[in-house]
Amino acid sequence: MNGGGRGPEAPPAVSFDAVTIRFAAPSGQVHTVMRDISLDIAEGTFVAIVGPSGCGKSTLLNAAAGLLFPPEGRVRVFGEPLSGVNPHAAYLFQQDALLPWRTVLDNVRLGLVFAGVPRRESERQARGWIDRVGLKGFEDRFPHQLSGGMRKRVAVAQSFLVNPRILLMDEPFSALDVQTRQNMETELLGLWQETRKTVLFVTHDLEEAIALADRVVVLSAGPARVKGVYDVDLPRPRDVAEIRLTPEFTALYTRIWADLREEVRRQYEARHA
Amino acid sequence: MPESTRVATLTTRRATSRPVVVALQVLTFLALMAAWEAASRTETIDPFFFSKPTDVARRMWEWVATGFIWEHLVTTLVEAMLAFLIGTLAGIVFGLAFARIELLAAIFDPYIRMLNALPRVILAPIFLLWFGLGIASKVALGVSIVFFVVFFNTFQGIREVDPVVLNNARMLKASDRDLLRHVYLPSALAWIFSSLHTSIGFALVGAVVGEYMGAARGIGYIVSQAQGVFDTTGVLAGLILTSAVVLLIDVGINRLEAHLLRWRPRAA
Repeated sequence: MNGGGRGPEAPPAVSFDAVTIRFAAPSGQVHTVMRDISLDIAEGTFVAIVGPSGCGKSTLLNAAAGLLFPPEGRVRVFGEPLSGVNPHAAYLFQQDALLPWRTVLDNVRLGLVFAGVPRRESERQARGWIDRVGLKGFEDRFPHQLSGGMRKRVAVAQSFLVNPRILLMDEPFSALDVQTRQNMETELLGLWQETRKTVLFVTHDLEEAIALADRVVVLSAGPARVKGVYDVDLPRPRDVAEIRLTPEFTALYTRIWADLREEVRRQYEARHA
Repeated sequence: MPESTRVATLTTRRATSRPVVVALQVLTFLALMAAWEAASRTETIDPFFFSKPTDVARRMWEWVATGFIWEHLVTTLVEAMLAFLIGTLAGIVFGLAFARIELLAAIFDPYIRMLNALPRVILAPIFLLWFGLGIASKVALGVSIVFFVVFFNTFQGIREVDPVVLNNARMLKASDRDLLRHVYLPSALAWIFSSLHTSIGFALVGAVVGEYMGAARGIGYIVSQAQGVFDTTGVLAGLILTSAVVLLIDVGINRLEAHLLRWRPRAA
């Protein structure tokens, strides 16, 4: 391996190396979303990224996905510099991203269709995943005939079916009601426990971040920088509902929130100045 | 015990049952015809210029009974069908190209607008000169109308593809061809379908107007012949025949649309 002098250990699944991202605002001004972000995500870890809303969390994820190319700095995936769409990653979007004109079955097997897998085989695998996310009997429904939570399950099955090494998630459950959301979090943790994929999970909800992740990265108000990285040493497997009640959770929450609160306030003041 | 099939209805809008609506539609038709017939018989309106429903109906029956109409009807329908197919195909191909290739759209934008703003009827004479009195000039006229309807809808449909859906497909490693086949075209198809009613009607307009300008057969030709001898009944019979044909085609399209766009949420 020519890991760029990183030594014998495996390269991180995703590494951001002094990444800076700017956008051109409609007024023509250049707006710096994030500056000098350096961050390594080790393979097999579940990393949550929190920060005040609008600080560029999603942008960071898009850079890891290869959906946008940073003008400065570099994103590496398993040691390889990223150019174009990240070949190892699946992406769970905040919004609905299913094809509205395809049934549940056809949506779930989409990744295999693109990979040229024969219909029979792709349908067999898709049915397996539809079963696993609890949507048996809904194979022939169209997305608009499902509830928000069911559509998310379809999206989860769609992402897992292509067996990616990295899962990118952009507040995937934020549009769901609290009960559905906790169910989905629990199921996600179950799936992750089995597969141990590398997960980058963006959320504005610190509780969700701590309950799910191995590490929590706090981003500062825009332009975003890495403000702090916290290890979450809570035991697994976890129950996302109950773990929030433990004193260890509360202690961790208090510590990270102290960091985050300041950024949330700064972001708010910048918006309302 | 069998389950009752009565379903809940929204209280915001009181729906009238289907048979009642149909009955009212028929009644409206009969009332209008009766009024027309009466006005014509009492000479409130001039029967020479306005004819009357019974005469028009008799004329249409004659056309059908003697088999006189079939040749003309088939000619018009073939012209309309060809115009529709060619116009739709060209519209989709060009709409696709323009939506995907930024430079193409930028260069041709003013010309497309100019051509679209042109009243198509004034193209009829030039098409007659170019393509002669036969079927080709009518098809060309129809194409010139249908093309733009489909073109703009395809263009819009492709431009309006949800970027999240597109990015999701890209993350699932869709190639450019996959994107075209699974994302862009189905999205555009929804738009194209909503314009289908219009474009089929336009295809028929192109055919009939073309025939009216100069032809040896077709419904437009019948109308123009009847007009030449001040035969109001003939003109009206041709007109009503055309509307009836459009109505029939429209019903067919509704069925097709309901099937192909079944993935869309029904508007509440």
